[in-house]
Amino acid sequence: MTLAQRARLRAGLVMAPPLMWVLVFLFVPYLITFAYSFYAKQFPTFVPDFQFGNYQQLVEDSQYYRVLFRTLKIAAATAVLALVLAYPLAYFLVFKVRSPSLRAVLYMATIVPLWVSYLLRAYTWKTILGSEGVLNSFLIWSGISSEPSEWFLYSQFSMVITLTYIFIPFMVMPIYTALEKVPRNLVEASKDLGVGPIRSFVRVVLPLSMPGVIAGITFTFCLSFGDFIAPFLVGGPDGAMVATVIQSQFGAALNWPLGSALSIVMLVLVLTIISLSDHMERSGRLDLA
Amino acid sequence: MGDIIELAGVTKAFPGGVVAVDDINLSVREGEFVTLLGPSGCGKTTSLRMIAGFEAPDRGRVYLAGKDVTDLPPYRRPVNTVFQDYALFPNMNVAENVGYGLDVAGYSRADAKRRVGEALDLVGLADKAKNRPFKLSGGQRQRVALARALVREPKVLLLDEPLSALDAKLRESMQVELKHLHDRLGLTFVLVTHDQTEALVMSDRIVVMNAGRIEQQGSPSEIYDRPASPYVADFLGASNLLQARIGSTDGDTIIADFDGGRLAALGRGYSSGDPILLCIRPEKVTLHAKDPGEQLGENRLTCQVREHLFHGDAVRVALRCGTAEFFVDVQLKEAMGAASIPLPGETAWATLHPANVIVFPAGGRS
Repeated sequence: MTLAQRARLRAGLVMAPPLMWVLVFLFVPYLITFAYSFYAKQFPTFVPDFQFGNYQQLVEDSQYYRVLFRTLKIAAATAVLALVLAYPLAYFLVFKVRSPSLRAVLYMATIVPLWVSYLLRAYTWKTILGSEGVLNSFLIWSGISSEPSEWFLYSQFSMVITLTYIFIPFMVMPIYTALEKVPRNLVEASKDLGVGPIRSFVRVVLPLSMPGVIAGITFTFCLSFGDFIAPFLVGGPDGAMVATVIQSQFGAALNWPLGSALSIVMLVLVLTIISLSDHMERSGRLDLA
Repeated sequence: MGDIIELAGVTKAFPGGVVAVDDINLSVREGEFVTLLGPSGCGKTTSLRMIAGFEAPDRGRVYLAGKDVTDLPPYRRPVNTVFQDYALFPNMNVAENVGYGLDVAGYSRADAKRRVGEALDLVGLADKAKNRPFKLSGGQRQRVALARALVREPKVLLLDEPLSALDAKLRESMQVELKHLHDRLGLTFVLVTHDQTEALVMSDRIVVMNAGRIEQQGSPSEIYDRPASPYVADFLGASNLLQARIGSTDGDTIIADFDGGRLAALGRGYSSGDPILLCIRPEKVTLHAKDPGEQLGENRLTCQVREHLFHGDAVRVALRCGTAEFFVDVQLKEAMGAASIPLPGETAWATLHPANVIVFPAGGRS
C-alpha cells in the first residue's frame, strides 16, 4: 500500500464514525418523519400513502397556523428579551470587570444554570409566578394588589419569561465571545479621535460584536421555537406552542402523519433561519487581527 | 514658543503596586520631536498614555498648551495617537477610518471629504481609499493610522512604537519619512520606542527612561557621546563597560587602572583609589596589527584577539586585555578586507583618545 493510499484509508477511518452518527441518528429519522408526513390517517391509526392532505390541513385549519404564528411570536419575544438582558451583562463582564478572576466567576454564574435540570429551572418560575407564588405573595403583602393574580402564570408573558430565563446563557456566551475579540485599542482609538463613549460604542463595539448577537438570536430563537416543556408547565390554555401540538399528534391524537407534516414545516423554518443567520454572520465577519 | 506638553510631578502605579511612572517632570516645546526611549516596563508607554488621557496619573498634573487636562477624557484632548498595532477599524474602509474623527468634529461633509483626501495624499494612499484595512500591507496600515491621526490637526501627535511591527527595511524608510513629515508639518511629535536607532535618527531630543524615571535627556549626539550613566551608555549603542580604579589625577585628566592596563581619560572630581566604571564605544577604538608605538595623547593597550564577528560592513573583534574583555568595531573600507585585521590568537594593539573614554563613578546609579 502506498503512503497516499494509507493516508486516504486513515482519513476514511477517522471520518466514518461521525458520518455514521449523522446518518443513523439524524438523517434516517428525518427521512422517516418526512415519509410519515405523506401517510394518510385512517381511524384509529394510519396507513402508508403519498398524498398532501396533511400539509393541506395545516394550511386550511386555522388552529395550526395560529399556533405556528404564536410560537414564532413567543420565540421572537424571547430572543429580543434575552438580547436586551444579555448584551449589557456581557458588555459589563468584558469591558468593565477589571479582575480576570471575578470575570470568570461572574461568567460561570451565568452559565451554571445550564447544568441544572431543565425541568427544575422551568418549575422555578411556576413557584415564582404562581397564585401562591413569590410574586403574588409579595404584591399582597405590600398591599399593591388585594388578591392573587392568575395573569402572571399560564400566559404568554410567563412563557417568554421562563424561556428567556432558560435560554439566556445561549445569548450571553456568543456575545461575550464576540466582545472579548474586540481589540481594546479600537475603543481607545475611537476616543482618541474625539468620539465620546456612547458613539464609540455604537460605531465600533456594536458593529464588531454583531456576529455574536446574530448567533445568540439564532440560538435563543430556535431553542424556544422548538420548546414544549415551558408551554406545558407555565403556558396555560392559550400557551400551546408548535412542539406541544406535535407532541399531542404523536400522543393522544394518534395522528402521526399530521404531526410529521408539522415537524417538517418546523424543520424547514428552523433550517431557513439558521442558514440565514449563517449567511449574515459570514458576510459580517471581519478580520480583527 | 512655549511648552506644549508639561508633565509635572506625574506618578502612576498599577494595581499590584508596580510603579510605572515615578514622579516625572517633562516639558516638550512646540514643534519638537521628542522620543521617550527605554526598555519595556520603563514607563515610557504609560507616560504617553497619560498625555493621551488613557491613564489617569495618581499624582501630578498634565498640561497641554498651558491648559490642565489631567481630568479630561481622551476625546476632549487636542492630541491624536498612532497606535502600536495601528488600531484601524476593521468595519470601515480606509477613507472611513481617516474621516472617522471628523464626523464629530463639526466639519461639513464636503470639508471632511476634502481633508480626508488631503490626508491620504499626504501619506500616498489616495488610491486605497475604498480598501478595507485587512487588505493593506503593514506599511500601508501604518500610513492610514498616521493619516487618521493627522487629519484632525492635533496640537501634538503621539506615536506609540509605531514602527515596531514593520520589517527592518520598511522601518528604516518610515523613520526618514516620519522625520520629514515632522519637519514639513511643524507639529509636535512624541514618540515612544525601545529602538535606539529609531530614537537617534528621528528625534530632536531623546528622553531616556529607566524604572519609571527619566535617566537623561538631551539631543541624540549629547546622549550618545556624553551618556550620564552606564545605563544610558549601555542602552544607546554598543559599549564596553570596564571596572577600574583611579590611579592618579592631573587637572582634567585622570589615569584609570584596570585589570589589563591603564587608560588616560577626562574627568574631574575624582581622587586616587576611587572605584570607577569606564565606558568605551567599540567604534572609537583603532586596532593595529603592529605595535604603533607610544604616541602623545593616545591610549595604547596590548591585547589578545579572541574572535571575529563578521557584520558585513564591519568586523567586531573581541579582545582580551589582561582579564578584561571588550570588543572593537573595525569598519571594512574599500580595498581593505578582513585580512588586515589580526587573527584570533594573535596580539593586537588598540589605541583610543582619552576623550573617548567615558568615566562613571562606580556604585552610582546604574
